[in-house]
Amino acid sequence: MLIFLVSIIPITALNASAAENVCCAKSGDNYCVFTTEDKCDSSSQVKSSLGFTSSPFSCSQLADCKPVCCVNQNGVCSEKISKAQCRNQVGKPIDSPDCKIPECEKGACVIANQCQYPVTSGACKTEAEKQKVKYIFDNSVTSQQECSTKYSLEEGCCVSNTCLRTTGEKCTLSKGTFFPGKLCSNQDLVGQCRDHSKDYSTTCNKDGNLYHIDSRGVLENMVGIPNDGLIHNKQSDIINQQGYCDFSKGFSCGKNKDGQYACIDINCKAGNVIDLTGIVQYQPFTGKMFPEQHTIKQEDLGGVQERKNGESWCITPPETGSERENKQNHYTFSCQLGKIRVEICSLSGFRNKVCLQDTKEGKPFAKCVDNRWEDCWLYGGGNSFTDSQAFYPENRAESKYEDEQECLFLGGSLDPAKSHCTLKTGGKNECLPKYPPGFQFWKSAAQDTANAQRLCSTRCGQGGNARTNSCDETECLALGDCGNFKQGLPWWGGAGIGAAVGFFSGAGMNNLFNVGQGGGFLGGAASSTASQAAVNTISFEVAHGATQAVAIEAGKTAAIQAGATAGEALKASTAAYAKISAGVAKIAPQVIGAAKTVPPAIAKEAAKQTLKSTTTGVLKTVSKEVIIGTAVTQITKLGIDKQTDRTPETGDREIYQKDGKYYEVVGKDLLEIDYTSERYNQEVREANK
Amino acid sequence: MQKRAQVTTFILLGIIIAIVLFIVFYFLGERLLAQTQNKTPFDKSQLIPLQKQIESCIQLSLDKSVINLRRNAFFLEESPYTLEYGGAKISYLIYPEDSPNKLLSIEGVQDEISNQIVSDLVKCSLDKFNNLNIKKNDKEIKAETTIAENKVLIALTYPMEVSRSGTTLQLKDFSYSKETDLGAIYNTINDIISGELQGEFDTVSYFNEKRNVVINKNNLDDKNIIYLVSSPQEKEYVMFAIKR
Repeated sequence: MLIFLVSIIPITALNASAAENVCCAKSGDNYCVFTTEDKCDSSSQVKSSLGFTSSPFSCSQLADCKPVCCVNQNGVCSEKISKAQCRNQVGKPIDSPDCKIPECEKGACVIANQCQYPVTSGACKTEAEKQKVKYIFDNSVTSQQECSTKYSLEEGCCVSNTCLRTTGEKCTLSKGTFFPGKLCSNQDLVGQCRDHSKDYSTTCNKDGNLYHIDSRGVLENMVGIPNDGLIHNKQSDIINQQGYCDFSKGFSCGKNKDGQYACIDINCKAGNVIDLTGIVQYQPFTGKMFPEQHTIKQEDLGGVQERKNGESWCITPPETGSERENKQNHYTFSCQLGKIRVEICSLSGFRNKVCLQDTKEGKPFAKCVDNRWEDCWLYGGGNSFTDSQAFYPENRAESKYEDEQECLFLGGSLDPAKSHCTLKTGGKNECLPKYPPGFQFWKSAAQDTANAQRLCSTRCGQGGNARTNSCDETECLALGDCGNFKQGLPWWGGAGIGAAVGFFSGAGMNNLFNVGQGGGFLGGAASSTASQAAVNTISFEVAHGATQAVAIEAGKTAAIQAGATAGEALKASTAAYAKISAGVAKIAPQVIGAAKTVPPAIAKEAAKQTLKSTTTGVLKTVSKEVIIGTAVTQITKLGIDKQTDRTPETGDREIYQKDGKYYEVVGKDLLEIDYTSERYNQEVREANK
Repeated sequence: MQKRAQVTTFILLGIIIAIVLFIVFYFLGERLLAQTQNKTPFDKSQLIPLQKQIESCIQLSLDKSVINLRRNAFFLEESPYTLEYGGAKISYLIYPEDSPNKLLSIEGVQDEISNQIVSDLVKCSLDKFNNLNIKKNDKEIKAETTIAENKVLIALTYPMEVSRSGTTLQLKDFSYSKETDLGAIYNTINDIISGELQGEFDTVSYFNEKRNVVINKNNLDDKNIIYLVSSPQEKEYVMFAIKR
């Protein structure tokens, strides 16, 4: 009984004190506190977010005060906090107080090359999603230092199956062992990276500088840096070293004359031999480039001995003098890595674009710009014309300029060097286009949208002072390609002038094919359609190596079919052949001035390009090549008999014909080649030759 | 005498055993050998030739696609917008319409390659593996293409079950990587198109900035420009046109 009394008294006493205390959902900054009720936060906010403010039960008895793992909105995990507190933090309570769940696993989080440790996988994922980037989570990392090393952008040697120089991050992702800052030829790694002898050879690195490589081809340090087994790639380490090819001074890494890697001069110098690889050397239907060897001449460099890498300059026809008739195309030449690159300002020969010479960042700079010739003949009002009718809106002067200034302004600039108009004084004060425009020589005059440029009657004599101006040869030549204006010259004379200079550039074709006032070598008896048919056919035949007789005969047939008489057809075809064959050899050098040593094959290829591009509709063929598999397998599969199905006419080329399709063996592959019979016959003819 | 008879018995027994063994191996040798071979455990290492065959089919398909992409300026098939030049149809990558930019997005090009690979892989011949029972799941074949600056990576998922002698193995993931400058060329062309859409692209300035790209620009007439872009090493070329 005594024992019962002794034991009950304290319990009663305790119950008495418990009656006074309650479990507060929140008290001050703390949650789930067993204290007197007056200390509980009884605000409505607490009640709405936690569901209660106080409870007469002890906190340990309440589910809301049970310790949980709380994962907040950022994915951060908090261990052993009350469910109430978690809910108040808008977190997700998880019934694992120690946070031993995958979401709360700690490790390294790599986002945008920054490695952080320790971070939970959930937090890592949430942050990456927020930044909309990819992330890497690595739970094998156990310290910030390891995190930084394993996922650094620092280079080192990565040892896995092989030894490679790479960044820590890439090495870790490829599951290799990373040795930061060490070359794979480092003595310390001789056990892991066998046969990596240092400074074995040299190579050009992506940064354009000369580097050593080890005996397994792994990049080492720049040539000139002593090899101490460590990577030296800081800017201060590499500058002024032997392998540092200073681009700003015109050097880059490449192969020298001996075929060795070295810092080579990438400026363009007269006398240097280069491979030309431009649009003329490219064959679109095969996608192949036929580089053309060329020795740089002073004239290619615009009359100077050397051009710096990155410079560009204009190659333009003469603007004045008797050579004014030579209305060649304009080109923008540039020096790029020791090679001359050519931009043809107007491939069709319209001269709708011309080259403008300028300077940029202290370097000569050229570019093709619109030829603003249209407004020149509005000068002085002419026959009621005013500059308010200027083709280019910005040429409309608010107040009239005087004489030369007005003329220059109509050409786009008051600077005589930049204006596209030039005032020809000497009584008549004619404002003439500096660069005469071309016209659509391949169309008939009626179809040519630029037909006015063919004629000396539409615009010639209308600019300048209307009372004194009259159409003369100079003005006519300046207003278009009426190159045969010379009074008294027969039609073939006009053609001759054009043809003599014509094929120096594609633009010269204008002179060759012109028709209209003053005649043109095909503009006489034969209709323009018949003449054009002859020209197209002969162009095609010449480009494909046909003999003179074959080409003329083909041209004659085409002209007759287009309505010419036999006599007219023969006359037109003979003239066309003479001009075209003379022009073919000159087309290839067009890209780079008058190169004389062009191999015939290249000239022919170039001729194909230019002629095809100007004889729309003649070539119907588009050769397609599709690799269908390895030759050995596919020949068997297709049932090709190597003896009976082979086309004997194609010389070295291994071409088979099977079930109406053509196949060619190229290396190990079998290609299906889509030849029309026309194209195929030409190839056969060439091969036979 | 007894001992000699005993020896003779053993000699005779030995000869009989030898004859029996000879007969067994002579008539059943091949069958036994085949059975022994068949009992070689069928494991993943024996699937390497099959894996290589699938990868070779990926290679064929990718090579074909790369050729066509180069030829058609990143279209697998001839674009509806072309210009005849030099005997070929050159794709317009800018054409004056509501949306003038005709260059496919890099994702679009990647998808085109992936689709082509899926379509080619279904036809990939596995006839030479007739000793294996291969169940291909053509419906779940999926290719993912990544065009990087200097390579194209293909990851192919092609679930198949390969069985032999009662053992079944699973094959699913294949990959192939091709060294090509297609990505570098694409990036350059993308810059050209952006430049041309904003005004006029200046090749010389671009070269001075990027150094290693090779661009040939040629104004065909006042409306058409032909570009020829090559990889830094000038091994691959892509020609395209723009129309103003």
